[in-house]
Amino acid sequence: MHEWALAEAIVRAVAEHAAKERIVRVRRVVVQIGQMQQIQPKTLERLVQEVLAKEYPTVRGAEFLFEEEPAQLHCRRCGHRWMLADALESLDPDAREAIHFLPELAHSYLRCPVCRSPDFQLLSGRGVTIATIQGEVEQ
Amino acid sequence: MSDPRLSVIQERLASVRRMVGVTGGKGGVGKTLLATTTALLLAREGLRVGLFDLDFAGPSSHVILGIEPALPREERGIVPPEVDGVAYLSIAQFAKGSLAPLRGEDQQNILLELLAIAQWGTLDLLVFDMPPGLSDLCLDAFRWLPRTEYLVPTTASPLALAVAERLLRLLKEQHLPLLGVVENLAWRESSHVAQLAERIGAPFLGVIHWDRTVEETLGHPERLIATPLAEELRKTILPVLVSR
Repeated sequence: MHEWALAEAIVRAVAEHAAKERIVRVRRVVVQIGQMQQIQPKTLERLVQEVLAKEYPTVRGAEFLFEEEPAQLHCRRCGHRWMLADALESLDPDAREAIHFLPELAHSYLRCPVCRSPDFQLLSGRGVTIATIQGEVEQ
Repeated sequence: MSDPRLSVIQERLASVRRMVGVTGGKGGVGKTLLATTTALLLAREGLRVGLFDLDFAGPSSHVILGIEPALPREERGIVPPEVDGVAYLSIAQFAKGSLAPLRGEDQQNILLELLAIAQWGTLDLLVFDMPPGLSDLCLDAFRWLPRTEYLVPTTASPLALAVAERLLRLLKEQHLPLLGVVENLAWRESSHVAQLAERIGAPFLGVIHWDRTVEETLGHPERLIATPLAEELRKTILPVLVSR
């Protein structure tokens, strides 16, 4: 599944940050998963552990918290702001899958509920970001 | 907040020996046809070749290849499917027929996402079909794909030359590798493109003539590589891509 690539990206980014900040043992990582990308936190968690099992000793053993971030949209044409909520549920499976790979393809399938414009901005809740990395710094 | 995708881009391309961006500045100078045909020809030379259509706002290389776009196979990311010997990736594989207009920041996100999840594997050469214009995406390619060598087709029309010159000067100023300039879609004798290349100090690779037979071969790669266009590409562009 393609989430493996994102799991590897998370682990590498954490390891790079740890090396840069002289963190010898990462304790806690908070990862936000944007609602638009429809990635299951449990899936990502399992894949992060799979990646960690092979490499990255400074990150291994860290607690990973996966938080779902609601998607908020802003229409550039009429200014309306709205939450994605369950709008994805009404789309057909092909459209949902396309957005799952590339959240920007939401422009092809969703419209502003007020003016029907496809010209909207995703203010939050797009994809995977690392919110916090905590650990023990080298003395 | 940090974007984890940036941490894996170079890793994903680590086994790609060379990257070549086909970029011409102006739209309509034949970038997509040149990039796609070149990739097909290189595959027939026995090279492991990839083609990545970076024209997210108006992808069309799939039309040249004659494929019905379908989602790539998933395996530790996505695996660009092989089309006529070429590992191929395009936004058309995800959006199919319903691609809405995309702003620069959205295209930037798509580029980052695909660079982070695409598993190209070992390639001798990865060809980027770049979008027209000196847009966000060109700047993103300069930033995230720093090993890319650029191939610049342009027509001899003053309208295209002016944009090509801006592009070439930018590539030079940024010290980005420039493979050369090609006069494309030539329909009469002209030395304007060769003169431009000389003025900039870029290699001039030659002239590719407008080929009236090509239109009927679109969608049929086997017929496309048998056209006079393909023959001219073999003589002008392939030597700089195969020899090194």
